[in-house]
Amino acid sequence: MLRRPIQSPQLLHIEPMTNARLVIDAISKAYGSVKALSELSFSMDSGGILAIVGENGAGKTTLLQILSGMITPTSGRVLIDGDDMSLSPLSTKKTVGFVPDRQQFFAGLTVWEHLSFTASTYRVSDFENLANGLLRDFGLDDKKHELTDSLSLGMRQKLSVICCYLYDPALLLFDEPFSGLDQKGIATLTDSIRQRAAQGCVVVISSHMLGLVEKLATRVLFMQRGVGRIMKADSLTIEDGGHPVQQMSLEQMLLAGTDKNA
Amino acid sequence: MDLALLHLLRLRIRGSFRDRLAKLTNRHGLLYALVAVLLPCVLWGSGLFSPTTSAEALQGIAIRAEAWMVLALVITTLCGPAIHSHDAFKLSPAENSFLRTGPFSNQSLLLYKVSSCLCGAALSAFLLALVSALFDYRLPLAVFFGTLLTLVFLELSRVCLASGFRLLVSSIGFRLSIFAAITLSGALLTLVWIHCVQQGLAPVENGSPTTVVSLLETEWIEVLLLPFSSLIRTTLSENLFPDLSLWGMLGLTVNLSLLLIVLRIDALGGSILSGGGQEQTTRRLTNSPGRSAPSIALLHRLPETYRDVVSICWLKTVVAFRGASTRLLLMGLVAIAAGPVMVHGLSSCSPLMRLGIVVTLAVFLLPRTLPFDFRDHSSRLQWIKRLPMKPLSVVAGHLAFPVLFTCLLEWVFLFSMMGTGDPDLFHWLLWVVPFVLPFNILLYAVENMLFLLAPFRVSPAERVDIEFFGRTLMDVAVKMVLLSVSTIIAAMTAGYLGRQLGGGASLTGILMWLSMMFMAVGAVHVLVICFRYSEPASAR
Repeated sequence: MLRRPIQSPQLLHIEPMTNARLVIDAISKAYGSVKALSELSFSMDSGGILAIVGENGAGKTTLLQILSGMITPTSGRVLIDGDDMSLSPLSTKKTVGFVPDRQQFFAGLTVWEHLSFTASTYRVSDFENLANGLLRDFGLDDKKHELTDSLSLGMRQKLSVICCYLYDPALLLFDEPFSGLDQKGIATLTDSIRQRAAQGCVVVISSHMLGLVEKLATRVLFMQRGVGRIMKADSLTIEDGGHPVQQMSLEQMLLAGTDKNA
Repeated sequence: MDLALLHLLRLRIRGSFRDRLAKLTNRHGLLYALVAVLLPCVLWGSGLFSPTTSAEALQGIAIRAEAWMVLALVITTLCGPAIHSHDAFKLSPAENSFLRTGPFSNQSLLLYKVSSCLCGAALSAFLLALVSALFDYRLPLAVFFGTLLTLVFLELSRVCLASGFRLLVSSIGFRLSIFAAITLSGALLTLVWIHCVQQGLAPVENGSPTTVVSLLETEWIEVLLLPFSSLIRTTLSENLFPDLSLWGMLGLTVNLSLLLIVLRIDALGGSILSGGGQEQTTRRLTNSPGRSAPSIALLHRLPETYRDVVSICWLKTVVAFRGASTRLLLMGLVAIAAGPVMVHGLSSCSPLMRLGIVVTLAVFLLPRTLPFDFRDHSSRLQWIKRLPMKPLSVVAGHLAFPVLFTCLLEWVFLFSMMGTGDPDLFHWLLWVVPFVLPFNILLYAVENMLFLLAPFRVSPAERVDIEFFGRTLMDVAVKMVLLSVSTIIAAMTAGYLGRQLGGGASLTGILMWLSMMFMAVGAVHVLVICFRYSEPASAR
C-alpha cells in the first residue's frame, strides 16, 4: 500500500467532440441542495469501452440513469450520434441498451415473452432467429419457455443482456454486469462486450470488479462525490512533483484517491 | 397507446391467468380457490340471505344503503391520497426497468397504467357480479359496470387530487408537504363534521331526528355529489334502460374527464408516474437529519426480556410513524369524530346495524389498516428468527404497537361517544372500556396466527384474483369463529364462577375481564408456537 503523499493522477481532460458517438456536455444533477453530478464532460468514439469507477455514492448510477434516459440532468446535454437526448428522448432511447444491477422481470411471463415484448418495443423484425441465437450463446436456450421467476440470479443477468443485444443499440450501459455470473458466464459476457465494441457500439460499464473492467476498458472515468475525471486505461499513472512516477492498477489508483480524500 | 405496451398488457393478462391456474396445483392455492367457490355457495344454499322482509322495507333499506355508499365513496376519495404511500401511478420494479428506459412517451405509459388498472378492476367487478348473481341481487351487469367504474374512479381521483395538489404547490413556489396539507384539510373537515353533527343535525322539534342520510338528500348536496352518486346508482341499477344506460354513461363521462385532467396535469409537469430510481436517490441524498429516531439508550437499563420486547416494539413504532404518519393521524381524527356521528348521525339506524358497523370497523378494517406486526415483515421472517431473542419476546414486541394503537383509537372513540351526554350510554360504555385491551390482544394474535400459518403477501395486482378472494373469505370466517367462541367461553366461565362465588354484576364483570385476558394470553402463546415452527421460506 502506498503511504507517501500522492498527488492527483495524470488526467486527460477530453473536450466533447461533436463527431463522437456519445457526447456528455457539462451535465449536472442536483437532488435538492445535494449535487449528485457536477459539470461532467467527456466523449466516446465508436468502439470505445468506458469503465466508471468510484466509491459508493460517487454518482455512478446517477450517470448511468441519465444516459439511459430514466432521469433527466439538471443542466447539460447528452448527445448520442448527434441527437440531443432532451430534445428527442424517444428516438435516442431506441439507441440505448441498459443492463441494470439486478434487473427485475415481469412476474408470470416467460423468457421468450420478455424477448417478444422487447422486440415489439424496439420494432425488431424477424426477432425469433436473433433471439434463438442469443439464447444459445448465453446457454439459456433450454429455459426459453420457463417463467423468469424460476431463473437464478446469473440467468436473470444473462437474460437482461440478451434483451439489450436483441435490438443492437449504439450505446450499451452496464451497471455491475458481472454480479451473479459464474466464470463461464463472465467469459461469455466479456467476449460479447468486446465483440459489440468492435462492431462500433459504445460501451459504458460501472463495476466494482476492477480487475475485470481494467482488462476491458479503453478509458476510465474516476468518480468522486459527483465529480468525474476521465483518463486512458493504459496510462494509469500518478505524479510526484509533476512527473509521472508509477504505473498503477485501477484498484491502486482508486484506493490512492480514496485515501487521499478521506 | 404504443402497440408494444398493448402487447405487454396482453402478455401480462395471459401470464396472470397462467399463474392463477398454476397456483391451483399447490395446497394453499387450491384451498383458497375451493373456499372462494364453496363458501358463497353454502351461504346461498343456507338461504341466510334470502329476502324475508317486505318489498317496501327492502326499498327503504336500498335508499339508505345508497346514501351511505355515496358517503363512503366521498370519504374514500378524499382520504385516498393520505392513505396511500405514493401519490401517483406507481411503476413496479419490472415496469421501471423495461418501460422507463424504453422509447415510450409519458402519455403512453399513463394510458398503459390506466389500462392495467382497468383490467384488474374488471376481474374484481366480475367476481362481485358473480356473487350478486348467486344471491339474485339487483342486475349483475349493473354490479359489474358500477364496480368497474367505481374502482377506476377511485384510482384516477386519488392520482388527480394528489398530483394536482402537488403541482399547484410547486407552481406557486410554496414549500408545503402534501401530506401535511391533506392532514390539515382532514382536520378541518372533521371539525366541520363535528359541528354539523352537534348543531345542524340535532333532533328537530317534531321528534324525527335529522340524520347524515337526510342531509345527503338535500338538493344542493345531491347536485354536488352527482359524480359520486352516478357511480353508486350505476351499481344499484334495476333495469338496463334507463337506469344502467344513463347512470353508466354519466359515470363513464366522470372517469373520462378525470383521465383528461390526469393527462393535463402530466403535461404540465405534475409527475404522475412514480417508482423510479429517482425517488430512492432523492430520499437517500436529501434525507434530513431531523428525522432521526429517538434514542434507545434507555433500553440498556431494562431487564433482558423487557428490553427485547421494547426494542422490537420500538422498531415497529418507528416504521409505522415514519411510513404512515398521515394515515395514523387521520385515523385518530376519525376516532374523535366517529363518536358523535355514531350517536346522532346514525340515530335512524337500528342498534344491531350500529353494532355491525362497529364490529366491521374494529375486527376487519382496523387490523387491515394497521399491519405493523409480522404481516409487514413477511420478507424478513428469516432475519427475525435469527435474532438472539426469546420467541415470546419477539411475538410480544410485534403485537405491542398495533394492539396499543388500536386500543388508543377505540378508547378515544368510546370517550367521544360518552361525551354526547346520554347517561345510559355512558354507563354501558364504561363497562366496555376495559375489555378493549384483551379483545385487541386476541384479535391481533389471531390475525398474526393466520398469517404465520400461511404467509400471504398481497401486491395490488393480486388483490383481484380468486386466491385472494378465497383467502379473505377464509380469514374472515376463521376470525369470526375464533373471536366469537373465545368471547362466549369467557362469558360462560365468568357467569358460572360469578354464580358459584355469589357475587354481583361487578364481580362477574371482573371475572369476565380476567377470562378474556386468559384467552388473549393463551392466543399469544399459540402464536409463539406458530412463530417457532413457521417456515421463513414459505413467506410469499
